Amino acid sequence: MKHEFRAHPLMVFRLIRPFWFVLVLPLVKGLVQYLISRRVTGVLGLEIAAFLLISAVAGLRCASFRLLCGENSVTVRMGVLFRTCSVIPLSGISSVRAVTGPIDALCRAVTYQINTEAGKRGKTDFSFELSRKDSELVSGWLIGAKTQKKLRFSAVRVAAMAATTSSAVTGMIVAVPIINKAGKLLGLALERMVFDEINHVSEQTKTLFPPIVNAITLLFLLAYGVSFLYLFVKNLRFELLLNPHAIEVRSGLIWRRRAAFRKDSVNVVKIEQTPLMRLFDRYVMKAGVGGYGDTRAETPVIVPSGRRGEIMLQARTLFPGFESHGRPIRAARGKATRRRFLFPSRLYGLLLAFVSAVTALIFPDFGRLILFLFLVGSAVLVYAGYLGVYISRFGRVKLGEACSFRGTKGFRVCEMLCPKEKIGELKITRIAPDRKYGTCNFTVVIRSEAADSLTVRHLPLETVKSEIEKNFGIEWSFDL
Amino acid sequence: MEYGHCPAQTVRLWQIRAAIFFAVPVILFAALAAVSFWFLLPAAGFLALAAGVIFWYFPRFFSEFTIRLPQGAIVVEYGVFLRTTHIMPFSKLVYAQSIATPLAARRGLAAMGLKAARSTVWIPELAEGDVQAFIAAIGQEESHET
Repeated sequence: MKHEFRAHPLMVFRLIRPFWFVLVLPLVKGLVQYLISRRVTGVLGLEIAAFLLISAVAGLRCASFRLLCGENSVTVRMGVLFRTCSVIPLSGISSVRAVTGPIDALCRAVTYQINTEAGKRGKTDFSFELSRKDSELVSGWLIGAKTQKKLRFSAVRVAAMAATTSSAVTGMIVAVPIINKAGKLLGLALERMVFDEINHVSEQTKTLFPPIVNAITLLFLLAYGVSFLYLFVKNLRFELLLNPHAIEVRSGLIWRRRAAFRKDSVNVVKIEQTPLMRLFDRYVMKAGVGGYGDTRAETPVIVPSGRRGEIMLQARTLFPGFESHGRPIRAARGKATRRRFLFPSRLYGLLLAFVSAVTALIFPDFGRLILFLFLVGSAVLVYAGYLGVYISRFGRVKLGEACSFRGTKGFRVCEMLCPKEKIGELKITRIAPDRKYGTCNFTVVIRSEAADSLTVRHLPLETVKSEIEKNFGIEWSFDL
Repeated sequence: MEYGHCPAQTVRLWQIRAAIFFAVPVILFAALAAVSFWFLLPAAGFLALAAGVIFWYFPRFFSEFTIRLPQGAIVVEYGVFLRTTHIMPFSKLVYAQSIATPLAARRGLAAMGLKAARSTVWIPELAEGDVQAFIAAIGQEESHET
């Protein structure tokens, strides 16, 4: 028996959204101008005709939309002239997500998204508007089983996660398009105003360093602040709903998101620690689910912030099949191995000192700026060195029916847990010193849309080979 | 193993599409001949290309387009200058999609996309009934596996 669902009328606005800035807003502007001054400039008639045509097409597409939930598959049909019909077996669905924004909430609608492993990277496969009641029915149908346990995470823990995982780069990625669009909408040079304000404040602040350093620092702090706010609001009211086969994550204050996925569609469990989290000894647990989210790196957060013991306990409880009991493979202990882990930091440190000294001699007027950049670079390299020493002791690989890998990704400590069959590729890399010491760099690539990977360095080659042979049945009839 | 080619209707459909596609530059350049006689040269070039594509390339492409259904997989072979073979095991298939444009729908045809992680196999227009039956069979296959 098939259950049929129709789109919520709000989908019409969603379909005309790409034309919002080029058609709808100029039209509204033109109509307001006409009402105020009884005078029209531009091509209002043409705009009205184009608007009516696009609205009619959007209306027809919305009316033609059908979501059919069958026993083993779900069918998505849309289009009048250009008709598409997609049949997705239930086992092919990796996650579903329901997002309720302020307008959705007013109209009792939900933006519903169905994700599979087969869509375009960083793009939702099927996205449409459903009524709130229908969305609950569809979720129940697609993901099944009712909630047995509900975990809530306090705002303080969400704030801790937001504070420790925010970055200035994320802040800029979020803020710049908003400032640009708002500027265009209001007809103001908002970017110019923001930069003028930053310059003004930085010139008022007297420090050892020149005003440009203050301006850059201020810009980064502002961007960090935006990123913090964004992550905090996005993850506030964080709830985890559990049942034996599925997990549902609810979060968000203004835009309420509900993401649900079956446990068997989780490819990898990631336990991460950013530099700031390291300071407070906290970790975040994420699940790698195929096709999840609107951006490539978006992964559902399972536990926003917790100590290692607590996180590992949650991982064992939620994903029992992901715990590895294999023999750990680690880098050899000793001064020689530690020196090898520290080698990149030392090399870059020497290079930095040399480049800073030379540029300070050539451009003495920029001495203070060069000193600032040297100090920042040195701090980064000291942290990289510290991380190298840490991972030389704690980095490891465990292979078995379930595998686990602990290493670093950039400046983050990362641990990945996954069943053996979710591994896409194992890669062994050797450079000249590896041949001398009989070691290798071991990279694992997870079989998923995001192709999560992690490299563990300086592992003993013979042990790696024998463990791969034992667990994956690969015979080494060739020499590395 | 089941074995099949694209129907004759598909060839005609693509010939019409190509004719519409090439008509635009041919008419444009022919109209510009009023400005300079030399514009007839690219118009003639496009016309020759259109004739080649419509009367030689498409009939050949679709006559050699082969769909095989061995046990548990779909094998698609195509190409005139370069021969390509796509093999997609059904176990790797995530979902299937049919697309019908107005021209294709009038002829009772629909194209089909078979989506697997990071790849799609596109099958040009087949009879709409066959496409729907194939897509429905995927759901059935899934129920047998589970």
